[in-house]
Amino acid sequence: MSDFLAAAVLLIGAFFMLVASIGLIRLPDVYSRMHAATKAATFGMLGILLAVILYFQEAAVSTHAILAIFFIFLTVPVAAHLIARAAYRRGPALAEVTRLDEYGPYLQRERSTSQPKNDISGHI
Amino acid sequence: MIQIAVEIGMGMMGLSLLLCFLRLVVGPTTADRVVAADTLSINILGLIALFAIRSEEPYFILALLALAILSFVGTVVYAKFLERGAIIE
Repeated sequence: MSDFLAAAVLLIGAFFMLVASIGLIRLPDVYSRMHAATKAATFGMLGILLAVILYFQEAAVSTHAILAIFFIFLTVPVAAHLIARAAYRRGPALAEVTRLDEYGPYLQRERSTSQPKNDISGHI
Repeated sequence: MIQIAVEIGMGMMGLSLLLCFLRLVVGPTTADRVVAADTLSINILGLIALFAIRSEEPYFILALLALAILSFVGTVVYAKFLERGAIIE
């Protein structure tokens, strides 16, 4: 029974990883590509590591797998946020279908009010 | 049962790796390439987990953890390089 469940969860996870890569190819924009890739790949890793837990059913392996799930859920959104911020500050190459750009006016306001020296030392 | 599922999943992940590599090669901007490299490393993590099930060797999960940490650090360094043009100021 748990073997069957592990196989089902594994196939769902691998399918979501495939969806992430198809979105990485098909979408028009670096931000939308990042949206597809990080969300779907995180969910796919959740499925595959749950399959590992259900297949082995040992305490040590389950601990490592849960630690890996926790770490991936913690770090992948942070990495995506950092890349999105860096890409926008380097030059916002938005797609033509973009309706709303909330970060652009905020960034202009921040650049006009603060000194360049504070702009560098304010972040990591 | 699960061996067949692992084989099918490995096929899907291989196709996914190929698509990520295509975006890594043709990506118009550097940010596209960084996103593609990040997704590529997450795909490799999934392949390691599938290989752990296939070879019935649970200690590959430890390798998965170490590679997850390395890929996160690599992505953060790339983002910092994109934003400032320097990694260590």
